[in-house]
Amino acid sequence: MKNTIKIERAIKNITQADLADLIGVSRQTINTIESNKYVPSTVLALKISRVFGKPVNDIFELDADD
Amino acid sequence: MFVSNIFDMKSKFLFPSYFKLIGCFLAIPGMIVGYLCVYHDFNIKGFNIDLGKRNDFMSSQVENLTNEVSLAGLVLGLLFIAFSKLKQEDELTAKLRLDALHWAVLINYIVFCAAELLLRLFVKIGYEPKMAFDIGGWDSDFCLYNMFTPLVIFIGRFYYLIHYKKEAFIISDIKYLSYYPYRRIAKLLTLSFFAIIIMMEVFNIPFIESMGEWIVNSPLIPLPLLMWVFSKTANEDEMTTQDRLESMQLAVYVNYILLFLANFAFYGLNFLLVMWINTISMLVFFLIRFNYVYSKSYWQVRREVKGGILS
Repeated sequence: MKNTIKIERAIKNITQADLADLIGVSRQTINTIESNKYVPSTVLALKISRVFGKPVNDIFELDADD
Repeated sequence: MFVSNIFDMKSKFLFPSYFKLIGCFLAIPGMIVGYLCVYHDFNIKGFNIDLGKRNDFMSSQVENLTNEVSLAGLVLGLLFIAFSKLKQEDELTAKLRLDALHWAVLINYIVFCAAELLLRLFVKIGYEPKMAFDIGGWDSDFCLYNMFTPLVIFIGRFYYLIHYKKEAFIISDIKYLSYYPYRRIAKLLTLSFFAIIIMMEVFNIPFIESMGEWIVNSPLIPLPLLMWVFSKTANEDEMTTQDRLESMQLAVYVNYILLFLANFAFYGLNFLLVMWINTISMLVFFLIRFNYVYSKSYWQVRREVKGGILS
């Protein structure tokens, strides 16, 4: 799975730590998700999409090999 | 609940974070005193108790509790360090904790079996390493270590995954053996081993008895159980992964609570039996819990499908 969290953060001008605080996870967790190493749960994905005010599908996208 | 969410796992069964410090204060003295007690016959005089009426040929009348107290301190301390909350708990730290737990159990038992096997090979060729317990039986030093090494390996692995990289966590996924043939073979071997051990206790058939004795004394007895734990079910998916992780954490807790109680209930030679049981108990608890949950959800799904389509 790919995601555009990094771009969305740049648009909203917030750091990984800010995003982490907003959804109540650790900064390393955001970093690990951003680098596509960890696929977040649906709950976490929905929380992230709420912060950016966009549907989940705009932020997370299936990869060719998923 | 039939459906469990990984998010629920966030802070399930964890101690507050200051327990890590308490854990250190329990585990370090526990380890030092335990080492001195086992290898240098060090006993704290105030810890003598009179067993009185309980006295039988398996244990002496006066028991010194130094070894019991130090083992309890060590195990409790390690449990506190291993399962106290991090500064920020979330679903990923929960996943890493549970992955590390699986990893620790796997590594622990492989190393344990290899060490037991090597020890017996050494004894066979006439080289006897210096050990506190009898060599070449189930009461070896490795069985004693096995009471706390899963926790030690887990702590090392977990803090490596969390802290090794400053910016991100290290993701480790456990690889499982395939269902066919491994799970089938493992199930067959484990169940027949237990059947033979039970038959050995019930009947007096010489052939069964010698076979049972061989199994009980074999250093490899955890291996079929381990293979069962680490092979895929017929339909392995995210849900089963979740059940596995929960079952393993519960198995570790149950195992250590029982060990903690047994530690103070059995003395002398009786404690050697506890040590033997401890070599497989964690794996047995896992298999019971996991297979129970797995079959429960399997039948539930079958019932629901029937209810939805046929009626």
